[in-house]
Amino acid sequence: MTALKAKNLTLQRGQGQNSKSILSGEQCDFELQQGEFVHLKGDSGVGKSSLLSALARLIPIQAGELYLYNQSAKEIEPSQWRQSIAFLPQKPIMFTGTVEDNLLYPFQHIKVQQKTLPTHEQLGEELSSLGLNSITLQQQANTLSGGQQARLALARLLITQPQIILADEPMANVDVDTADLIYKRLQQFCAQDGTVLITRHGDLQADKYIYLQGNGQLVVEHECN
Amino acid sequence: MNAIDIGWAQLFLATLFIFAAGGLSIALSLGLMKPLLIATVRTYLQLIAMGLVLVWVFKINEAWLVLALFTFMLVMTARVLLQRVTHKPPRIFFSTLSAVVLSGIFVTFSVTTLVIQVDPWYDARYILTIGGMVLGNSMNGIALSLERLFDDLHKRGEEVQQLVALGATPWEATFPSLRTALSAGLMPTINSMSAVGLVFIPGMMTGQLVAGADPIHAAKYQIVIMLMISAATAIGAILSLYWAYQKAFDEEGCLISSQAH
Repeated sequence: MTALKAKNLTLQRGQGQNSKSILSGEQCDFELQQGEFVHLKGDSGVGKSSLLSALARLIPIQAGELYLYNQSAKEIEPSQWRQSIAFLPQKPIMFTGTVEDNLLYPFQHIKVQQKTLPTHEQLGEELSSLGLNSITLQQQANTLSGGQQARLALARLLITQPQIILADEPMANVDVDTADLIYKRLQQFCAQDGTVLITRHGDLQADKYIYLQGNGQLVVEHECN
Repeated sequence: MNAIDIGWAQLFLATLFIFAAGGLSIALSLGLMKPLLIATVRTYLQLIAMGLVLVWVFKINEAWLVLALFTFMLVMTARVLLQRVTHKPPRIFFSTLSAVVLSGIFVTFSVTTLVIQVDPWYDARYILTIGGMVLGNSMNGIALSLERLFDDLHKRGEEVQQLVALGATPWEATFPSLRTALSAGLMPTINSMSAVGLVFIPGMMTGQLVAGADPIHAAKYQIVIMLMISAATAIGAILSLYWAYQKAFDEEGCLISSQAH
């Protein structure tokens, strides 16, 4: 089943004379199948983060169409869209308060589709799946290290149960073991019918690769087994 | 019932106090002399001009003239208050003006027709003075609210965008800032309602007492004024905040300033 489809996307960064074309519309199509783990590749500055933001509808596309499970973006409220297609920014943003406050914030202040409040046990499981056994729910979030904050941000997003995760360099600025934990957790998310589009400097084992060429074009390549 | 008239010579005497303050400023190199002088000249010119206009308006006292002046006051209120708001998104003049107009007209005319029962309903002596007090005071409250809202959204920019990314609507992402902003806008009014009569005698009551009014009569007027100023400030601040926060987001519900990356 196609989870996310992009058709003839035109995407630019900046405005006027300083604008840079990331995707030029013609033949800029790709699909993410449900359960796929897809690596978005391209040189630095080519617009990978912008593309992820645009797919989450956090920045506007200039032309083209986006579909979530065959439903056009035009028919879905932006806030609903973003609950289904969750964007994980490279720099984790912590809300004021404890680890628990951060994890439950979406449930308490946003009308999320997933309405049942997760139990402490579920929160604990999510944290330990990302190797965060050493932190407590009562700990202040701003006392965590950068790597811990990155994982907490991912955990916060996972418990809202999105359908697709767009992860922008989630393994940057963390040690090798932590990077491995994040990778495995995202793979597990795909095994449970989630879909992931991820950027990362360097290689990554994935089901599919999308290359941003830098000339406004993209190339999709499947993993050959 | 008349206060002692102040002669022009006495008025000049009052001005000498400003020179005393200015002299201190020069002695201590505070650089206040020039702004003090400019403000003094403006006070003279603006108030005398207003006095002359009011002499003329009170004499004519016709509905169209009173309404025209009131409209002018409404527009100036919105203009002046927005000048004080930093980090504001574009195109918020009309939403702010609408909030000022709705709260200003509703409160002023409710009080003049229902509470004071002015006859005729457009009597300039009441509409323009009471309207002026309503607008002047609610202007401060609305300006403080909007200032705080956009300042807070600016400071919380990343957090707001993160909330939006988690699927928050603009309302949900802004709500903490809206609460802070409303409380910032209303606090001075609420404080002055609590302190009135204990700490200070408000301007209108002072005026009436000096003019020889019965203190209870003056107190009743002042209560009405205080209540309507609070009502106008609260209604104006809530409406202007409600319309203004939406302008900080684009049609996709994203904070506009955060797209600059």
